[in-house]
Amino acid sequence: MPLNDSEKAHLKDALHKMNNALNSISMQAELARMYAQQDNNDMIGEALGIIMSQCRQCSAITQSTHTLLQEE
Amino acid sequence: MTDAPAGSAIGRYATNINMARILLVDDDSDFTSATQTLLRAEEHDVSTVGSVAEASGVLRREAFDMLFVDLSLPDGSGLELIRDDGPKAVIITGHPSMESAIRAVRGRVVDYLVKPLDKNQLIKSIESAALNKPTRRIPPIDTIRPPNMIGESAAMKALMKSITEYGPTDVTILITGESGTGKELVAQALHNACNTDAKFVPVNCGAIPRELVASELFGHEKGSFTGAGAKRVGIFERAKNGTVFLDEIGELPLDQQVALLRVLETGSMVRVGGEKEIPMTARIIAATNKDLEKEVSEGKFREDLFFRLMVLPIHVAPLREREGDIPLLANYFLEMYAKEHGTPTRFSPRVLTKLESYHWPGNVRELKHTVLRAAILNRGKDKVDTLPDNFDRPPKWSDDAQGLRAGMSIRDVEKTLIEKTLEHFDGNKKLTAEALGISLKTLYNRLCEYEEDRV
Repeated sequence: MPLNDSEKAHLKDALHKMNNALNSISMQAELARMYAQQDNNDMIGEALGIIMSQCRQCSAITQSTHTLLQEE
Repeated sequence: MTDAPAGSAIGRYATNINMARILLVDDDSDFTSATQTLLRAEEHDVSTVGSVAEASGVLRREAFDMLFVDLSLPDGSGLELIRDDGPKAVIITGHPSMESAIRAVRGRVVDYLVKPLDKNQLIKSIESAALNKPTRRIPPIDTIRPPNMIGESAAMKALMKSITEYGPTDVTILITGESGTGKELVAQALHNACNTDAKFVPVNCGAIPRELVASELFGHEKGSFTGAGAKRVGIFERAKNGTVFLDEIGELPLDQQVALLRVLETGSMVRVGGEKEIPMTARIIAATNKDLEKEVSEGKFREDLFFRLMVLPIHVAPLREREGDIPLLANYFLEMYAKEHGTPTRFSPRVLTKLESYHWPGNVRELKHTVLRAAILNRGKDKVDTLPDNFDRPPKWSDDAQGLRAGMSIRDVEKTLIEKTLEHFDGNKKLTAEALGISLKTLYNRLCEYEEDRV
């Protein structure tokens, strides 16, 4: 069954948020790699903390989308 | 706005790639802070803001060499910040849409990056701007489209839309489609859309002997293996800022898939037998007629490489799904052969109808060869009114590759292929050479070699 406008808007927003989260993860991973080369464990931990938080954000987005599709 | 590092001077413009003054505009603070730190480590002077309003204010007060701007900001579009008299701009977006691509090429846009980004993409964009490369603009559609890329069908229009959308980016593209659909033409069009004078280098991964793949792609140092008498620069290095088209990517051996993935992820490579990291500045476009997802599930293709290549996929429709394109293509080929061979310049309506109703399993390539055979068959007439007897019966060996088996030497495969093709064209060497994509001279040389082998 095709999605209605509100569902499409939800999906579009979810994809936008997911892309932003993946973008942050990608750059924070680059940062962690740089800190690893500098043996800067504190900053590696900080970057990994942000990565984990963004992963949780991705998980929340997929769950909300999943719920939407189940309601369908 | 975050502070720029001490010592940064308003109005100073970059004179080399280590000193660009950059304004990064994005509302995701985790992304901007990471990017700022990474680029500062590369000795760039980076300031960040999160909205159009903030960025407008900063741009009125300060001068920047480059603007990295997200297309979608909380209070408007990042495009509002791009001015002809402003800094060079790189558009960042999560949605490579046609509209944004075309609008983005206005003004001072030097690059167009699709999220998620990595550090090497950012560095490459800064280098492009600092080296004062010409602003990347989408050239007119007529200059993008190779002359033999014919068609007005919905499938063809969608394909051209993807080409104009994806062409001007640096993103890796995977082209899928059946054999004979024209995947190389699509790759060439994507390269043309980059508006660059750099080279387009096509490579058939299936045609390179397994043991030479690494050396061909990455180059080798003198003495790195038996027979490596001199240093050799690989295809990726030779392509410089151009495009490497890896056709039949599914044929790449697994160990070389790992090496290719490394190049894509790190943006650098090492020659066989070498130690020095060499920057990879060429863009990669890959193509396959295989179902790569199936190859991944069967362990024949690496999943990580598959996803890395699938960033922007383009599917080329088979000819049978391109409604209305068959007469356009057939007439184009007929006119082309008329110029070359003095054959008829038009089809009879009955013949055109027959061509249109056939399902063309070999796609455009098969149509092209059929038109050539029909043109020669009807030489001396004012129009093509008959088709070769077997035109709608694919060669009997094409479906099951009869005569070919795993473990055969390349030489034996080539011999079988030449003999079967010659048989299909009833011994006509000209048509055989044309179908095989080799010169008549090469065909005669091969036939002489086979004759000598027999003796």
